[in-house]
Amino acid sequence: MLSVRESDGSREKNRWTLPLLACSGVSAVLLQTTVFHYLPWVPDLLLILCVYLGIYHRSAGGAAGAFFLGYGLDTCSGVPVGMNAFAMSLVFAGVTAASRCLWLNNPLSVLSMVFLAVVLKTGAFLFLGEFGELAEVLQPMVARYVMWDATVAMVLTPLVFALLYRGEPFDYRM
Amino acid sequence: MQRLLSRYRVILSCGFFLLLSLFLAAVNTRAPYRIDPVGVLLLEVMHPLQVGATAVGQRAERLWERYVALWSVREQNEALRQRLEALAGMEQQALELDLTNQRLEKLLALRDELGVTAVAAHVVGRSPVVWVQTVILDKGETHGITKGMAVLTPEGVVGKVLSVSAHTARVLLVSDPNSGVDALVQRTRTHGIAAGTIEGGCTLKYVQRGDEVQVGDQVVTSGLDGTFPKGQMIGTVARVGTKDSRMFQDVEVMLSAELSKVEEVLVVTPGVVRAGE
Repeated sequence: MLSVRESDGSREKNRWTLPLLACSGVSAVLLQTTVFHYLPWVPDLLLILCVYLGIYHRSAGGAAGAFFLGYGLDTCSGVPVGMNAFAMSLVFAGVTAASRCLWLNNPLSVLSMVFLAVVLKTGAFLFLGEFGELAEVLQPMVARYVMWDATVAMVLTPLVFALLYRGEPFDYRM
Repeated sequence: MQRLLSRYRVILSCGFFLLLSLFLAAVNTRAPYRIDPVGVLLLEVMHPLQVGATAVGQRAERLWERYVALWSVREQNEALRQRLEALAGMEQQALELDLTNQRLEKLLALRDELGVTAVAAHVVGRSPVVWVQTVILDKGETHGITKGMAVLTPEGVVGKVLSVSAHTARVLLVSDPNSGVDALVQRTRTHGIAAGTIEGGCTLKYVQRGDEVQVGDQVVTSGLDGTFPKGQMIGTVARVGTKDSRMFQDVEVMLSAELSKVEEVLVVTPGVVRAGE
């Protein structure tokens, strides 16, 4: 009986996973484009969300989610459409590939993955910037801010993951 | 084929979205205008949410700024209050120094006026019992003070040195019942002995019934006792009473020097000041 109840509960939670992630994505875009601008640094919540998708939602839906997170950021930020979408898709692909080979359910691995994700996203931006003749603008900014961006993202990761775990059927703890 | 697609669907979907985003990026970076039809819709949907979130953010920022401002104002207020206290202390010190300077100047002027050698001293102690009117000075035998010397202030007579040690001197005040200073009523030259009372006041003893003394007359030292220089102010006649059965008048004198508040005094030492000394 107990196992049946548990599986019912998991199913119930599974049903809420997609709305939860969608809401999280919208909220992250909203926060990054509005409230976070009052802070000294705008943390990249969408990247953390993308890493989360790459680790715990290795599916076509996860890939679509990562793409739309980037697309939403492109739309709101004003950079050429596709740049953030590409970077997020690349991060998702990279994290998914890494999580297939490595055990990523411990805090240190996740934080390392977030750090690498920031580097990867930056690399993707620079790569696309070369083609879009944006390299001159991007390179000095990226070089200056990448470490700080990575540090802030790593600091916020446990909090974001802890919030997202609550809506999941699995019970991972950082 | 379907099995293959199912097996590699994550990789394939990743590849698809990467290509799609690359395509979008390629088109948009080269296009003269932004090609983003979905984005326009997305912005419209996000608009009310962004307005609400921005309003919340602005309020939070205002609240924070006010809080921080209040915090800094409180710190500033505390610092200013401490500064004010320090300045008030300094002002008080300056005032005290000024007053001390004025008193010492008066002492110096008195010494020059008397034309005698004198030692300025500070009152450092008072008698612990009320029926003995004495003060202790911070100068003693090593400074040339000996027993019996006169102690004065610019306001008037203070008393007589009762005992000395190397660095201190005990002065019997003129208000003590055991003290006695040969005195004159300045206006009529009437003789008497200014002596203290148990209440801490002063009377002019041995003034005969026929001698003219009025309230307000000034009482000065006569110089006949060999201790006090002549003409030093003792006080003012406050009351004159006559009892029929007695030989002498009852003359009450209000001392001109406020003995309970005196801080610096001049102890007259034997000798005459030479010019320029």
